[in-house]
Amino acid sequence: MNPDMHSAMKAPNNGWWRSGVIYQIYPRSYQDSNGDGIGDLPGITRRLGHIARLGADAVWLSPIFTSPMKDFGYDVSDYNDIDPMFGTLADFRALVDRAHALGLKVIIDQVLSHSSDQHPWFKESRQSRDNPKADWYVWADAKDDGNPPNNWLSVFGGSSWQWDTRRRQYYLHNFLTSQPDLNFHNPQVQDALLASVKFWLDFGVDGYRLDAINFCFHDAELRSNPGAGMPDGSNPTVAASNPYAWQHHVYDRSRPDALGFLERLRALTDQYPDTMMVGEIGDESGMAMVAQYSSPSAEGAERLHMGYCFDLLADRHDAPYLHGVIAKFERVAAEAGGGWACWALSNHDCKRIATRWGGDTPDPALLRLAPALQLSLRGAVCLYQGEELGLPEADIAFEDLQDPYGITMWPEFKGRDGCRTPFPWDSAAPDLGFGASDSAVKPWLPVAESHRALAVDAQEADPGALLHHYRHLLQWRRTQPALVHGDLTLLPVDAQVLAFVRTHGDERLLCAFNLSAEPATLTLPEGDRVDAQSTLSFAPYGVLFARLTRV
Amino acid sequence: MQAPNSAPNSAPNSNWWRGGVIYQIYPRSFQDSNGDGVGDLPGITRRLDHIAALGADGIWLSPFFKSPMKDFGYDISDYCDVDPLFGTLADFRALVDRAHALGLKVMIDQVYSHTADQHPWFQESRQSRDNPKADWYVWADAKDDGNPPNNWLSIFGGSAWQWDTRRRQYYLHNFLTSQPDLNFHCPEVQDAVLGCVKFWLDFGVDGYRLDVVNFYFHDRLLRDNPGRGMPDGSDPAVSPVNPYAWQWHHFDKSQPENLVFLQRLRALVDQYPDTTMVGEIGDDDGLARVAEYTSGGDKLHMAYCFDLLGEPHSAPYLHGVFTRFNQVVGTGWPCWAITNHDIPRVATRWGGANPPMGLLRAAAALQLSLRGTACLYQGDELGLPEAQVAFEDLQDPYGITMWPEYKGRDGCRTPMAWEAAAPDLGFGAAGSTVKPWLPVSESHRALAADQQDGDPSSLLSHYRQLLAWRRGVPALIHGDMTLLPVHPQVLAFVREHEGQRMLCAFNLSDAPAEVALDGAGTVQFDPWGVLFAPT
Repeated sequence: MNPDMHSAMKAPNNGWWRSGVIYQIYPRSYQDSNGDGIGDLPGITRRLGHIARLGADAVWLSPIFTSPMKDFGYDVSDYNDIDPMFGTLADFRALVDRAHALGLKVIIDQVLSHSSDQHPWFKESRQSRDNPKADWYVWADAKDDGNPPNNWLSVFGGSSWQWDTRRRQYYLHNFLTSQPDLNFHNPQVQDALLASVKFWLDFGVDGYRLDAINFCFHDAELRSNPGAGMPDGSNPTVAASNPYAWQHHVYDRSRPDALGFLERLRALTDQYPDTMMVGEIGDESGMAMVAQYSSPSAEGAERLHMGYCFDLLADRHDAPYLHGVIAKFERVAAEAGGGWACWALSNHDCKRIATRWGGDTPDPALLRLAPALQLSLRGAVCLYQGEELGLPEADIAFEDLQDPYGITMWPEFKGRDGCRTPFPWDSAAPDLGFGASDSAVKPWLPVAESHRALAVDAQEADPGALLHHYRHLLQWRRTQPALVHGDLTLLPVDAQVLAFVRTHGDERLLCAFNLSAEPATLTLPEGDRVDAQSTLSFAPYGVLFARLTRV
Repeated sequence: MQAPNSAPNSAPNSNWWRGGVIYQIYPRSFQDSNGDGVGDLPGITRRLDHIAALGADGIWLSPFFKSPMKDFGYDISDYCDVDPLFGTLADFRALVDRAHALGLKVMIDQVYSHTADQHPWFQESRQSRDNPKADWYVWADAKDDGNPPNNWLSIFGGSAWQWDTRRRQYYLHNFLTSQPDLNFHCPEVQDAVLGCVKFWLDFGVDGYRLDVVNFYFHDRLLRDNPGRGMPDGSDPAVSPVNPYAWQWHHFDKSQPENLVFLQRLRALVDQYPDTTMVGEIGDDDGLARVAEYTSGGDKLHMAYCFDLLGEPHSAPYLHGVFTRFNQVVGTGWPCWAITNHDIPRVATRWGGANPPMGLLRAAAALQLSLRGTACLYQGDELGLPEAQVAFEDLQDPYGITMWPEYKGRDGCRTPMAWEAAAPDLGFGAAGSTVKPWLPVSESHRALAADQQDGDPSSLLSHYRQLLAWRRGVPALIHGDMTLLPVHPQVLAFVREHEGQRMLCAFNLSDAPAEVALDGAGTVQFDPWGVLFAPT
């Protein structure tokens, strides 16, 4: 395709996403409307009012496409249809229409790196070494001793190569064996996936969350990754108990070839007005890759609109750590010439922040600090369903586990079920209002009793509740150009207080957060004052937004 | 030949097993008595008459011990109890008593190479690197790149090493990840296993079939197996579509330390009268290993390997197998099986989609005239073909992983065909509406036992006649075996015992044959023709 043609065809984009607040819905667990114990699209449509009232700009729906559900929809067997478990295309049309009527954009979650092994492409590819789709996945011969061709490991455990007896070859899977990796080195694969992207753009979605987007390409020479030895636990993307963390992932992902595909992808989405793509990037150099993937090439070809990595999805949340994260992103974004981040504190892959940062009995002040911090960063924001309620991670017994990742890595890593339990709408209703009214079917994951007192109805009735804090924050933020459009300048690192200044025009907004459970003070830089004060006091987990003045 | 008994307190042994006929029962699929779709011990007890009428000397029961059933009982979580799926210890007592009353020995199938991951030993071992059972399984650190410590592969697919997040180590499993390998280098493991052996001997069983007996020990140094490249398909123990067949298994099994353990085992078993052990041996050189493991009268009584369990069955192939075995056997003793619960049924494997009756009759005659003990597998006496099991109905994890080029072991494990007119061919309990755990094969209906029982020309009658006749021919039971020269169609050998000579010859082709046989002149054979001639 001729890039010039595309720029000529570029549709207008108002940049709503640059500081947008995207509310992530995990469809299995939001609202069940048909009593099968699993959330669905009509259920989501019914609950969109909650999200609009919260003040979000968009919803991101985790995958709703046809799937055998081995990885709960992240294993797609038909990119262009809705799984019957979730509803129909007509249900999705109704959802999109309702969302748009409420002023909400709709972002869908596409899993391009791999398909399900039930996808017709893979079923054809595995039949022989010479069928028309033989090269659509990553096939390789065994070594002389029958072992896989190299040392690559699956994120979900074991070798990332699975033997197939038909071809007597291995195929690559970075996740489950039932999630074969598509071969992006094959232009036909790129074309086929771009066609599915176009399908939904034509349908009317506003953008994409792109799953594991840095996994699309692998090293065509299949070189082994360098060993890294026993991990020290500092990698936020993978648990130290997972052998995957013992490698430097130089060759199995994050290959430079990806950039060309992202440029093709962007050229396509740019033909549709006000669209956006946010990529998930799990990598040791996550922030640098976010910057690279969301900045233009030397020739000016754009790629993703933004990306997110896992640096705020880690356990660490002390002021020096967060200072380091922000400083690093500002640096790598500047180096890349225009990277843009989307910041998430929770999502469907990570332990909920209330528990991850707050422990067994999270301090309410910390839960109020977290969104204030997240919403004052430079970039877009993803909120995960239930974050606005301060839900703790649910404890799931091994017997109730659904997530294959957790089942394999139990007990040192318990998987992702604890953040995927049903949403608590109504503290007095069966299954906290998640189920259809008369359903006798148990929800697919047990409702957490610890969520009952935090249900939406309970918080609606309490003006001091965290839900109202989120609503106030989102509403207030819209009125602060410095938070929406401003530059970000960090104050010096401090053991307790993270502080930075968002600057827009003449306005300088100090954002300061005491990330410790102790009182703290912060001395402003020479010449800066807040209400004539140069030294500020903070309660434990105290937050301050204040206009800076100079003397 | 009287085997020398080394232990001073050895009990007498009638050597019933030398030249005996053992009938293998796969308990899940023999007879369901309680309507849960799975066969059980009371069901077997009810059907023992069938086996006695056949003329077998003993039965081998595939595992009925406590198990999560990931590998259908070959993953044991309590060696000394009966799984409730199959019944109770009292049910097993009743079975043993009934078998003994019918003159049948009872051999049980013990799986000592590995346990289930649900076994309390493993549950304890995996908790930490320093618990009392930390060394009861084979644990090893990862390589610097997080990969397993060496190149060993699981027979059932993938690496033979599974990561455990608690210990941040790998454990060895030669089969499923839920079948961790016991560490026989640990003396306490040997003692614990021998304790289980003693439990059942005291209970009154007559012997053991020992699952994968050459897998007990691994190389302590965890050395890599040598690669052998894409296999040519000549290894009868492993399908060439399985990467396991790409290695020479020098270090993951068949280690010399095993011989010492087998001597400990034999010394224990020899304290009980008339007991026996038969080992299963899957090895790069199975025949040599059978000879080694059964030599000297101080290890196993007998063993079987997979040379008659492959597809080749031509006269030259079989001639080669027996020539080779006679070279290595020494004081060893083989057990010959042509079907078992791990292998496509012989009717289909040798006979194809429409097996000729002559082939089935020749196969039985051949098996029962070899020097050694014979294992018959349930349904072989009926000539059952391999059942076609759809992928959706598969139960065997091995087949699910290796589908479709290798379809697993479900096709020989479908329910036994008792009565052609009964629901589920008589396998199920009367009135049961539960579907059998594997579908009954429609192709078995016309071959059901009740259809063959009164028919003197049926294969079942042929088996009964063969077994009865054989008992009166000491040369077939005790005799030496001398092969006649190789011939493209006809396999021939002479069994000789105390001056009695029996010429045994088999046309293993579907064409007539003419061959000059030493002592019998020129003999004409029909397709699949068989000759027994005293000389």
